[in-house]
This record gives sequence, structure tokens and C-alpha cells, in this order.
Amino acid sequence: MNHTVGIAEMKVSADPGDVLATYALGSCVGVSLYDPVGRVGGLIHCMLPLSRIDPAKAEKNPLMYVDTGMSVLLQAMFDQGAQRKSLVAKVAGASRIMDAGGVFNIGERNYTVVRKVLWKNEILIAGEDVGGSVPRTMYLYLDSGRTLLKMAGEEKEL
Amino acid sequence: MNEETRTRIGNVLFDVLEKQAFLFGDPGEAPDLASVDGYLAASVTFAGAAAGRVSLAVPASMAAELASNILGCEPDDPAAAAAAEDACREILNIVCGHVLTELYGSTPVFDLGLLESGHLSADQAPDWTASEGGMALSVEGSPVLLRVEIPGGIPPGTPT
Amino acid sequence: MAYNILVVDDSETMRAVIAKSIGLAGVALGSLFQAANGAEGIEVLRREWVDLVLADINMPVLNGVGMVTQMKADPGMGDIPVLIVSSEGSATRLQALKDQGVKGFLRKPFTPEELKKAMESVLGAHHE
Repeated sequence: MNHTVGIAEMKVSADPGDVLATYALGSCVGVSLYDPVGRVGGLIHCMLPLSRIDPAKAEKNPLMYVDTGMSVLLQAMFDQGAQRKSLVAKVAGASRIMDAGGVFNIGERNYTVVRKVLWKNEILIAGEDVGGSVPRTMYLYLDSGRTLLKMAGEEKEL
Repeated sequence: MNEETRTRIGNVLFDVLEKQAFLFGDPGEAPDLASVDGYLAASVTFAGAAAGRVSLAVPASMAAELASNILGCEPDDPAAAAAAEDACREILNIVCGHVLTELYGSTPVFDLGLLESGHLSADQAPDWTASEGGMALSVEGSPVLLRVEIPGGIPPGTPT
Repeated sequence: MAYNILVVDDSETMRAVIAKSIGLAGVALGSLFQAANGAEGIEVLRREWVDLVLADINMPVLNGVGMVTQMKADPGMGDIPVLIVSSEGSATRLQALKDQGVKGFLRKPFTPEELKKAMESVLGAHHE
């Protein structure tokens, strides 16, 4: 079954028939995690790097921010039986697209915070396509962990 | 040092801090230098195509966060506190290498001297940044001080 | 096969970062040795079997350039591949090190993924 992961949302699944998709990643960052042993996968779509700019909002929806969102995603993966040591992480988005406030570096900072959380959790990035100015769509196939990117009519395996 | 050079040198520090320590610099004005309890300061001399010294001072309160981010451990991990001074020294070492390339390009060879480190009180900070080559920057809402002293003068513009 | 790796850097923090990155890189690791300067590094190389050296340049007592020079002059350690991990930005110095036989260079700051790639390129396709 296909599941759409909206902005500031995530989905974790252990059903090999599932495909998780998130659309229109601009300066937002998409992270897929997959445990090939337990065949558990998750996908998140975060908007902003750090929750401390608005702790009240972060409490309401931690998935909006990379730092809190990644913690929730990792915990949900572990709850479904994923092992930290087996996790394969892939990252997409984080474009240099101006945000509503006229700030250009949101994408870059989103990516930096993803790296920070993964480093702390001892997970290397196995594949990424970040930066630039193209919007990206990211798919995670639960049967294999295959992560596919679609951007500007082009397809790419991560 | 002209404004353009200051910006370039400040950006070198920001880039190093973001990539190695996941800390973000802000191009705006630095917060009050006396708003922190004191600084961990480190400096290193260089000699070669030009001679001088690069120094860095990080608020003592930020040094453990710097170390924990670099190591990838919890900020309250005893390992982070133990590594705070060494982490500042290493960041300075990296910044110095990149400042030299920023100012002189990649052709000349420089030899770095031994790193020195110690404490700088909040009272000393304004003089420290007001001296030639000194600047105060804003990193994660805290003041971080950087000083590039080159008695022979800093070359203008970006090297070719 | 498993590789014995020596990390030479005067910063204990940086040695810890490099050690953690090696652990995550999926390289089959035998023993991991650490040294705080080139002279200590040479001592380890005299004593232990080492398959790869990761060395900083700017260090007290004996810097990375001096260490590589000593290694290359010693038939017992001249063939051990060296990957320089340093903030050095002088292409002139890096070329001189390459001419001495240094196999790779990674500039600080670096990500653990970049270190993995640099180690793989130095070790070739043999690692598991």
C-alpha cells in the first residue's frame, strides 16, 4: 500500500508491501531509515532545523523540526524492532530555496542537524542528494529498502 | 583589517563550526561580551609566506557543548567536559589552516607553532576583540571571539 | 582480512572522532592504535603490525611531515599506506607529501562519510 508522508509528518512500517512517499522537498529535509534485517522502514519530512526556536510548537508537533523529529522517528523505528547498528540512512532535500522569511540557509541547516543526530546515534549516511534548487520527491520501498528520488523529471536511486 | 576581510574570516569560523561541531553562526552583531562567565582561549602562531598568530576564545559554557557535538555524545557526558579545552584547541587548529588558505591561497607553505590555551575573563574580552585583527561573532546566540594578528599586514582581496 | 590502523593526532578529541568514524565505516578492524605525535607514532610502528596510518600534520615533538619522512627512510615501515587527516591547505606541501608516497589526504573539517570514502580509496577494494 502507498502512504504519503506530508510536511512535518512521518510514517514507520514493517509491511513489505508498503511504499512510503514524501513530495515536494524544498528546503525541507527528508530522511529514510531502513533496517534490512528486520525489514522495518521509516520516512520523515521535516521543515526546520531546531525545535528551540519555538518549544511550544515543537511540543505540539515535534516532527516539524529535525532535532525532535529525528528522535521521534528513531524511537518509533526501535519500537518496531529496528536495530540501531543495522539502520541505513538516506537523506534528500535541503535545497537552497528561500524560505518565507527571506532566509536562504534553512536547507543547509536542516541537513547539518540531520548529520548531528545521526552522528550522535552512530549512523552513517549511506546515500544523499541535497542542496541545489530543485524540489525532490522521495520514496522508500519497504520490501527492499530501496530509496528512489524523483526530481525535475529525473529518477535516481539513493 | 577591512570589513570584507573580516567577513571572510568570520565565515571561515562559521563553516568550520557548522561542519565539525554542528554549531550555527549568525552574521549579525555579537551578543554582549560580558554576558558569559569567561572564555576558554587558544592561540597558535604560524610562519612561512607571512608570520602571525590566530586566536580563538569560546565561552566556557559553550566549550562542553562544542566537545559533545564533535564527539557525538550527550552534553552532560563527563567525556564532553573533559574534552572541552582540547576541542577548542582543535577547532582553532582547523580554523587557522583555513584562514591561511583564505588569505594566501593554496600555494604558500606555512608552519604552525605549538598550540597554547588558557582562560580569558569576560572583562578582558572587549580589549581582546578591539585589538588589531580581533572580532566578536555570534554563534548560537553566544559571543565567540576570533583574532588574526599579522604584523606585516593582511593581504587585500581573495588570493588567486 | 582485518586491518590494524594507527591514528596519529595531538588532539585526543580528534582521535576519538576518527576512531568512532572508523568504527562506523564498516572496515574490518583488527587493532586500533593511537599516538599523540609523530615520534609516538614511529614507536608504535616499530612495535606493532600496522596496515594503515592516519596522521595529522601539525603536532608537537615530531610533526606529520617528519613522521612520513622517517617512515619512508625505514624499510620496515616505508610501504605502509598513509592517509593525511589535517587542516593543511597548502597544495605545495600536499604535493611534496604525495611525492614521498602518501596515499591520500582528507582536509579537516570532515564528515565520517568522507573519512570512510578516503579510507576505502587508500585501502582499495580489498576491505570487506
